[in-house]
Amino acid sequence: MKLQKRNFIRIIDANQGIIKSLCKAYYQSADDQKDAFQDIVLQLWKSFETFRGESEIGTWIYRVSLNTVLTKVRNEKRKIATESIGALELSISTAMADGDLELLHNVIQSLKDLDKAIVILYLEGYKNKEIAHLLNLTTTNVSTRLNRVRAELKAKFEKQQYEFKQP
Amino acid sequence: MNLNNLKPAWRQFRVLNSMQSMDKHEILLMIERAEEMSASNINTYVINSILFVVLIIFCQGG
Repeated sequence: MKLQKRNFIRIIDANQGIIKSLCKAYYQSADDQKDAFQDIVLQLWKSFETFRGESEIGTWIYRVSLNTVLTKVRNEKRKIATESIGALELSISTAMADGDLELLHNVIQSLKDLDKAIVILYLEGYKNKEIAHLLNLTTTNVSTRLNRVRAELKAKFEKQQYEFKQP
Repeated sequence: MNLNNLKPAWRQFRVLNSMQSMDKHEILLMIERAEEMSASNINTYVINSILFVVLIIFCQGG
């Protein structure tokens, strides 16, 4: 096996958690998640030759993966819109039994595609400027979208959380 | 809603997903299959181009 391939596989293997989390954030069924995973890995492989280590591996993976998945989702928009609610419910894995994970899942699923990418990067700890750079947006656009998302989520989930916490 | 409260859940979600990891061999197969397909597409393109040129040269009317 070529050294470059070996290095690439080692990197993907160490960062599967990121890629799989993104696939699960955007796709509900296991088959779609597998397809998305494959598309992301192939895109990462294509851009691996040009990766010069100027950014951290994790940042490079987020940039390529999110842009790949956003393009894929945009192209398949019609198909996703017709997906049944049943499939959505089925995707909540047993791991989601945890309250915080369930809330995270619900929050992520309620967001629009681009807002979802912004929120994921925010949760990962990236600053607005870095998020803007990774997604080819302006910093103002990222800040505005994050504020709007916060307001929307507040309206949507705080009442639900309050009801959930009541004895 | 304070998004910062969801940061630990996102980390947990990522860790959970890294536990169900794919075999290295499967990843290798994935990229090798794509390379084979790409090579086969180039071959088909070259063959079709040659056929087109041959047809243009030898099958002109007049």
